[in-house]
Amino acid sequence: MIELKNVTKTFNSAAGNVHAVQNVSLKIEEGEIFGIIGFSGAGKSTLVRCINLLEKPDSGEVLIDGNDIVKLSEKELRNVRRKMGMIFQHFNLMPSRTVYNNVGFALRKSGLSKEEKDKKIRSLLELVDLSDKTDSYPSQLSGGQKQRVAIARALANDPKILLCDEATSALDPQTTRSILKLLESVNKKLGITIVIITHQMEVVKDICDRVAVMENGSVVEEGRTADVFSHPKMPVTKSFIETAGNIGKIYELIKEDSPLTSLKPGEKMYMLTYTSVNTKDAIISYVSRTYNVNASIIFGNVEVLKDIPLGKLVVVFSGDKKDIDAAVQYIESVGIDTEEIK
Amino acid sequence: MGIIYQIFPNLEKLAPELIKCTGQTVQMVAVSGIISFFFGLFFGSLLIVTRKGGILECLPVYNIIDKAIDILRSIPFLILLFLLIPLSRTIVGTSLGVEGAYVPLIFGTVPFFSRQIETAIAEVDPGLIEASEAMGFSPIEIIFSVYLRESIPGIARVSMITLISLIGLTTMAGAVGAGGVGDFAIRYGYQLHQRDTIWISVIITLIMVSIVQLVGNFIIKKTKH
Repeated sequence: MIELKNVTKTFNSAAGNVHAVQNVSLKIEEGEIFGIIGFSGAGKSTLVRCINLLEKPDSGEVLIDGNDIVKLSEKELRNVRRKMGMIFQHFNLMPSRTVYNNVGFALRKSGLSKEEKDKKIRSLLELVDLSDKTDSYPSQLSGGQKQRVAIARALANDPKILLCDEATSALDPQTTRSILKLLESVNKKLGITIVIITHQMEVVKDICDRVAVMENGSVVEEGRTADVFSHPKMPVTKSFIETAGNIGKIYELIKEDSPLTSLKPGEKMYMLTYTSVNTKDAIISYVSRTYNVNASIIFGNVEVLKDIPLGKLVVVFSGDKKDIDAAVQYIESVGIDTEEIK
Repeated sequence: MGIIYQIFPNLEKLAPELIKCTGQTVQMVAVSGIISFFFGLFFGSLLIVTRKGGILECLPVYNIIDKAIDILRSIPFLILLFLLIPLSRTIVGTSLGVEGAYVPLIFGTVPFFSRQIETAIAEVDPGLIEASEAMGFSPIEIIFSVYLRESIPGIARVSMITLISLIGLTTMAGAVGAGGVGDFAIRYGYQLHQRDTIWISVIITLIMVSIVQLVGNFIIKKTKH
């Protein structure tokens, strides 16, 4: 569907060259919701703009359905772009046009008759649940409503791809959720491939099938969302997981020597990370009984990554060192990651 | 009427002349205003799209227009009037009267107006341009449907300012024989010492400026959301 091959983009400025995107190769399958997550300055916005060539890569190929669109003429490129919707962090609606005309603007070159356009615009506004706002101006809408109009506009030409550039970053958490729901239903109902650029872990967590983690212009990790975040390899991925839950707090508490994390002699603190495979088994109590160790859970967090639970527990084991080691070994053997953190 | 003739003793006798001169001013403002409007929109838009990072970036074109505007704007209008006599003869066939004033008036207005249009259009959110490009619109479509369309309130505002300054320029053109209210004030008020005719000219000009402002504000109010 979308394939990036060795895409590189460098910006030259007086302050020096900025390697916004460095040799990125990605494959995004038809019909999936693909997340690209990274902190600001990671190059993700530039990367998504390379998909519709708002930024021309210095080198590399951008294949849409197998065609390298970098080689297209301006006119051919405009036709390709019409089949790719895009929504933005700041919505980018035309302030002088009503909601109706903002959506209608995208249909200008569709070749539809006036009646067909009218029907299309009304059905799009119904899809995004804004049928009662047709004659409002963008300035009269809330952020969430503006993004809904932008989504309707982006879908006007029946695109096969929808690019979302930080589409929820300017919205409050509740509105973010409703926009994500809308995107998810658009993906399911219309089968549109969605590429989401974000720095918000909850966005990726909620709706992305697969995710790529970006840092300094490169994709450092990529895979199914649950896999990437249950077994993070790179520090940047780990720090995103910390932003999602409160589990990162435990490291701070340890550093501050909080009474909560103080250990008596013979005690050991472990972080256990588990996914769906084993959530239903009573592992802690089994270990406790079998290996004669006491386990007390002092901290816990369960995330749901696109239908797959990802749990993290901070457990203090007390007992014989030998028993603790055996218990930990057992826990590892059932597929739970363990990490001694104190 | 009696009281008006008491305040302006020369009005009764000069009324027909005054009407004719007002007509000349309106004609000069209308003709050179309309022509300048289109030139201004053209050069203003051209500056925006050809500047660095513009949708049709072309620095040579940008630099030429940019410098030409600066040079023309630095020439005092009264000097421009005399400077452009040969050009005026070539284009409109005369350098005299109302027709002879068109060329200098346009040259005196377009650079100023282009700059103003440039500023007005520059206020369009770059995000709108990016969104339009992403929707597959061509540069020409973006100029008309986004840049110009979205800055109508700004364009109305700067057109108002320019039109008012154009009214000012026409009175100066009057000084070189183009007629108009300025000419009226110079001939009767200054040369014949009929002070009241100067006041009459001031009032006529004020009325014209007020009409321009009223219309401009109305357009801004109607188009701003």
